[in-house]
Amino acid sequence: MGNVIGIDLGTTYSAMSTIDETGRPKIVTNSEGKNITPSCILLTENKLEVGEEARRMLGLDDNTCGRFKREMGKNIKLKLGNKEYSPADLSAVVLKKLKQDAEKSIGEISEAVVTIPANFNNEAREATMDAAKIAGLNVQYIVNEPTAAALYYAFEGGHELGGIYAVYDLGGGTFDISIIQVNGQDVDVIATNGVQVLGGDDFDNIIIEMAKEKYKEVTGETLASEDFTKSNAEEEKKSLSKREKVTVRINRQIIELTKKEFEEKIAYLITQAEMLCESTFDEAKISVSDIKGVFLVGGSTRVPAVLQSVKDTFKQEPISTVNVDEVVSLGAALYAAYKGDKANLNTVQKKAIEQISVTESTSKCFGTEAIVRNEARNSDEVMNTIIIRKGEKIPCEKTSSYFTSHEGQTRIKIKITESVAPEEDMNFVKIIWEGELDLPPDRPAGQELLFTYKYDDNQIMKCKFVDKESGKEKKVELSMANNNSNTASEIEEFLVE
Amino acid sequence: METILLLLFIFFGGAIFRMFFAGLGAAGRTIVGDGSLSENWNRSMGNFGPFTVRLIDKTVENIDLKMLEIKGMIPTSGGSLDLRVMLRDITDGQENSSPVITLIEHQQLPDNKTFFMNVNLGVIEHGMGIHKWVEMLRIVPMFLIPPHTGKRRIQLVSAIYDHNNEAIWGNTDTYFELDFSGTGYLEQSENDKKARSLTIQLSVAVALADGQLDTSEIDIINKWILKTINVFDDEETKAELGELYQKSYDNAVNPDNNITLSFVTKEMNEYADDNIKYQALSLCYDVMTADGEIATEELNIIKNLSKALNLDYLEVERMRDKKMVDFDTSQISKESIEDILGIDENTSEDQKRKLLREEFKKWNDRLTSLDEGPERDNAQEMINLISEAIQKYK
Ligand SMILES: Nc1ncnc2c1ncn2[C@@H]1O[C@H](COP(=O)(O)OP(=O)(O)OP(=O)(O)O)[C@@H](O)[C@H]1O
Ligand SMILES: [Mg+2]
Repeated sequence: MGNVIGIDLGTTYSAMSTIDETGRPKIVTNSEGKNITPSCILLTENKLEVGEEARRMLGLDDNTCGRFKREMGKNIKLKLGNKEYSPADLSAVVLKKLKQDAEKSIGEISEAVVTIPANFNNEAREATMDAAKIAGLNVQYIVNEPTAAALYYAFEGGHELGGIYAVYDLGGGTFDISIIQVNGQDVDVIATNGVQVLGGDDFDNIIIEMAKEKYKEVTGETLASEDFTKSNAEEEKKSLSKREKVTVRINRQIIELTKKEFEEKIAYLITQAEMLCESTFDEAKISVSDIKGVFLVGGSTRVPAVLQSVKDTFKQEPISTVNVDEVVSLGAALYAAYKGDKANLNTVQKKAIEQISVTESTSKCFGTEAIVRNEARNSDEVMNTIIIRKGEKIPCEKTSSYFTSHEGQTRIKIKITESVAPEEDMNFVKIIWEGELDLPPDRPAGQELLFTYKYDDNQIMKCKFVDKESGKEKKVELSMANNNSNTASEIEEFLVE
Repeated sequence: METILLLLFIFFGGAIFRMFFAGLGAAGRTIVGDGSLSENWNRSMGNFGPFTVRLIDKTVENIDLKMLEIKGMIPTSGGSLDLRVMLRDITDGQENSSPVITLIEHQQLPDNKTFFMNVNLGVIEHGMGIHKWVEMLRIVPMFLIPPHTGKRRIQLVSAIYDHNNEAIWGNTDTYFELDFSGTGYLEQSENDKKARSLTIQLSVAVALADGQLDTSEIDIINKWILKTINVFDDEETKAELGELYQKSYDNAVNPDNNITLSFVTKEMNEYADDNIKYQALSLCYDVMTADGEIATEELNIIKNLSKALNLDYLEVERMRDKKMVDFDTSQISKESIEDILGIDENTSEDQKRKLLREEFKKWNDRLTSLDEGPERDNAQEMINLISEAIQKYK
């Protein structure tokens, strides 16, 4: 009987949790005894080291790497020393470290759940699954970060919660807002949105900018990036959460950074979160007064200006815990127990989680390209048409009819598209799969084709394209494509034991 | 005969033909009547008479049709044969004849709308023929468009080609009358030319809005002219259009002519269909962003133009968005973002905030789908600009 773990693979920090003998979620500390582990990698003498040391060195030389979660799913390589890695490879390194540490502290791991931001696109989801596989984790499910956090809050709340709640998650890299219906331990996601590039990391960059300006003012010289690193900036930022100003010593010069100026500079970023919250209320068809509580998630919610913005936007005091950077992983551990093989659980654990029920909804629209009449322009146009809308309860299955456009058409080109809004313009959708279906010859135009999209519990989509008359069909499963990752063994070789 | 065969060759030779045996809808369906073509071919020693074609009027499902039927013996030494048919409008005499076009897609030439059908007759051996009239294809008069409006005389040109693509038989003696009340395609293209000339004037007027015509702006307009002309493949038309459009451009840039936007838009409303109007507006956008800057006056012009041309606002907005991701948004200032988004100065602050929020959501949603690159950077820049702009209304 192995253990289940939930892993919050964060942009800046990662955390892992399991459930204890009584079925309650608990944090699993890393081998340094810390609750959270910096998602940073340092290359030393052909070994890849994950953690605090790497974080401190970040930006100092080419042997460190961080923030690769922001690049997940993109077809790019990141340099570390003189080798290149895909973002999935680097995430795998972090996951591997967490797995090893967890095994040391709690023993064998049978199943794991990894969390992802709600607005991750299909490729980023796949890349995350990839990373888990490379790290040697048995991951059957991934879960959206806000959903995991909501589950944790609902679980901790016992059976007292009931009504509409919001999960406000501002972490290191991304911002997520979800509107959730909670009924005891029944968690139902109504609407969710995110900003891909909005988090503590952007705040750090602003601190660096401020330091550079001040340094120039004082010395007339340009501040070299190694003299004031990302991790320096992060420390000062955290101090500014408690103080009105901080004095920083750089090269025997003293500069002063004030909270007031910092808040002015980050205002436009906080505004983005506010706008997204309001849009999400509309999407969920609720008004602020319907929201019974706001759960805070993510380290950056400790920034006073952020907290104030939450109060203003939601017109209430948010609900928080001391460990805002741990709740996602705690919720993920619960999710792992809830979804996973019950044979791994003891009777008490089973009892503890039996009340849990989670319903997610799609965070994207899925569709296909088709020719549609544009009445306004009085012409036929190539457009994106939606098959599964955003906000559908998962799992779901939808079928739409399309028709061949001309006589004797023996082939159709098929594109599976993904977009957040129900876009019509093909310029603004992501094509996640392309292919063809051959059709029988010699038929008039207007042959009916049935496109069926099925969105699974584990956020994998299966598509089927059928020619109605002949029954000819094509099936596609969008999942875990092993894109451009190095093999597991290659990563292994570099990992510190 | 010689000239007709030559004519046929120009229209038929070398083109990639499609097979038309499978019908399209009730009106266009081919090969019915008494048994199929293959059942009617006969090797019998009987006297078939010479190969002939005829047109028969028939009404099927309330649609008036002209059936082309064939009979007789084909002068072939054997091999696969094709019957090819086209229609000419000879109202103004044989020498001024023009092709007739059709709206039925499978009865068109592959690369334009000219009525043309190719029916493969199968492999015919020497001495084979057809005893009785067999229907070969159907012409649907209501879908035909002659060059001009009115009562038109249409000539049916038919020919049989052998497997070497050589004409072995031809007929030009079959005619019918077509009473056509719509706008002929030549008339329409006169309208079209006019509308495109006006498009050029419109774009020049937009370019001149800031007082001068930059080379980048001239460049864009020239490229557009070339693109418009190059859809035609005969040199004569190209030259004619080139001259026409050049003249229209020269007229527009000549300050003496004092071409006003209100004049051009009024003319456009008369001659241009909606599709051309949108294309014109799109060109104006390109011209506007050609110099890498968007001036507020230019934006106002676009706004007024779409109003004056009675264009659908949503459609214009869609077009704008498409342009926006291609445009280097780092050039846009915090101050002009509201203009670019078409937010009216006189709107209430609450309303402005709401509009900005909707724009933010739109661009943020799109960011998820855009791949790394300038388009994505531009969308991100739009987001930042919008979030800066909204600060004012908090
Ligand atoms: N006291 C504090 N004041 C300001 N910022 C803080 C504080 N404590 C932590 N942070 C910031 O919170 C961020 C980390 O939060 P968290 O661990 O929730 O994010 P993450 O999970 O790494 O990112 P994401 O969820 O976006 O992938 C870091 O940017 C960190 O600097
Ligand atoms: Mg997080």
